[in-house]
Amino acid sequence: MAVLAGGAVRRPSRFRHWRQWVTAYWFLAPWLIFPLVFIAGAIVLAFYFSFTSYDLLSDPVFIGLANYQKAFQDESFLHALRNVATYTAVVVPSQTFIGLVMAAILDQKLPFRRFFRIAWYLPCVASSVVTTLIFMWLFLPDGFINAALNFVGINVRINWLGDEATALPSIMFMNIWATAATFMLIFLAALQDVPGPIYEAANLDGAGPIRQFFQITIPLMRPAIFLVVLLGTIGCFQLFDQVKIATNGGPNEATLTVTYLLWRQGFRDLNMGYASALGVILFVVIFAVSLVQRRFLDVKPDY
Amino acid sequence: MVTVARAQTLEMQRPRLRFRISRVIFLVLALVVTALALTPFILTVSGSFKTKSEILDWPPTIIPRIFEWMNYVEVWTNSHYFPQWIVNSLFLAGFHLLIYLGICSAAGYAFARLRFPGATVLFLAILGSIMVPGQVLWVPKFLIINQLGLVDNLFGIALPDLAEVFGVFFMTQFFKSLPKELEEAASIDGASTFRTFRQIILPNAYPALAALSILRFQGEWNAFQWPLIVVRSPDHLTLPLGLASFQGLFGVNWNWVLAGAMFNAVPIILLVIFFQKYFIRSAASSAVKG
Repeated sequence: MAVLAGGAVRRPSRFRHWRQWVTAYWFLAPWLIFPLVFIAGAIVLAFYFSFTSYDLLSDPVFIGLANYQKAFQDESFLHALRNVATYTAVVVPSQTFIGLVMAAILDQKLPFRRFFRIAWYLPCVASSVVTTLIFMWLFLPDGFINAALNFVGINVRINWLGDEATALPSIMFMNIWATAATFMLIFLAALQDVPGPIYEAANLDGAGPIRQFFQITIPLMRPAIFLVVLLGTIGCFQLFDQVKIATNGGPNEATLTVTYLLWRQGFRDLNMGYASALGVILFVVIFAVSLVQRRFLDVKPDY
Repeated sequence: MVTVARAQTLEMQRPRLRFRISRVIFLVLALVVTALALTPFILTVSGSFKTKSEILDWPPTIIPRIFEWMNYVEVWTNSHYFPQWIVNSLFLAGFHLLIYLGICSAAGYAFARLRFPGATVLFLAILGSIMVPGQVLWVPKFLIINQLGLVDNLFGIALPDLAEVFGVFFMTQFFKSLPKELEEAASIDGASTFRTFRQIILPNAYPALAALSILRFQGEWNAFQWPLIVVRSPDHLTLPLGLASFQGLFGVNWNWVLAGAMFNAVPIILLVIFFQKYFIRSAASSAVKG
């Protein structure tokens, strides 16, 4: 590289702050070492192992793209992808709509608002293990869900989580119950940002509350709706806890998800290479879906 | 279309009436949502007090006929690991809060106030890492832990959890909001950056640290996926893992399972009730980011 006349002048100034740099790295280092190893390092290893066959007992063997080829011929994986797609298609719109309605209710100046907000938020803060155990119990053939249905005159004794037809819908139901309020909070924050004068103008024009909601509130909330749909989709694609605890992917793979298959391949069957490849595919799928959603949903509101 | 005169008379009568009716409708809806949100918890509390035979009754009773307080004792004694699981979960949460709060506030301070080459790139890289789903890293993280000899060890759970990025963003945002005059006065007095941070910045960060502690406690106390991968032996399980294994161990003894679940749920529910604003704010701040 050529040394210019000015370089000699600039050079000392570039390193003038070196003491502060060193201090800054001292502040950063104790934390940064962990993400360097367990995020950055792990991402590199995930790619590396996805090209290998590795069972923990013998050394990893490089097998190129074979794991990826295997995935797209693996009936279980394709089935898991279909399950997750169905699950996402039902859960994301439901929890977005319910979250929005909950936020709209809380945004009214109702009495006991603080109580409602805490009460509605409790399903989101209990651990996935607790909520899953509770619903496993409620979903028993002799449980409260069947009892409630019988009470209103539908005489059934369904084994909700044990029946192939109802297992996935049951998990959908419990997750909508457990997550709707998280999204409600995001909507609530966004609702409070909608300028008041717009509603006053709409009132003067004679628009009713329902019309105001659909023609003013929802269009102005598009960024929040995008965020909720994005976070919801990412969450749905990662569905694991409920499946692991309640159904183990069954009955007959009816609730098999990509993450559960990844766990089963990696930590039950010790196919570390194949499990890594499934992880990389999951990442690519989530990334692609969020790009598509950004294309269609992420529009700045125009006032 | 109505004439101006009629519109005016309508407006005189209608808003009040509409206001009342919509208020009642909204209140009824609010009560329905409350019932849906709370019923599973209320039934759980009720179930945790039922006797072994009553919990199998059809149709199920809503209020237990006999309050069986012993369920809460038996859940401790019948599986002698149960107290150990609570200790393990408390250890994980305590270790995390002790170490993570210190290192993430130091890192947050560096991002907020100190100048160093690569700061922006590093911050964006960390931000981008949120896009990577945790499950993608299960296998490589497990292999690293395996190399370190930490499989089936509580530190195998605790150390990778320190890579959590949320706290660093949280503290960076907070330190950016502090007035710069705080440090300027200290640096005039000749205090080193480290001393300024410890004696002037950190004491001013107590509210943020309190909020972060509560959120991270919840995260560690409720954690399921990573602990599931790391620990196996019954005496190394955390409370959520133990509870999940419970249901397999005890099969139909749902009264014990539900009583056990209360030990996991009640501390968090109390935290939310007493520190509501921290939870609400953290959810709202994720909206700001989008």
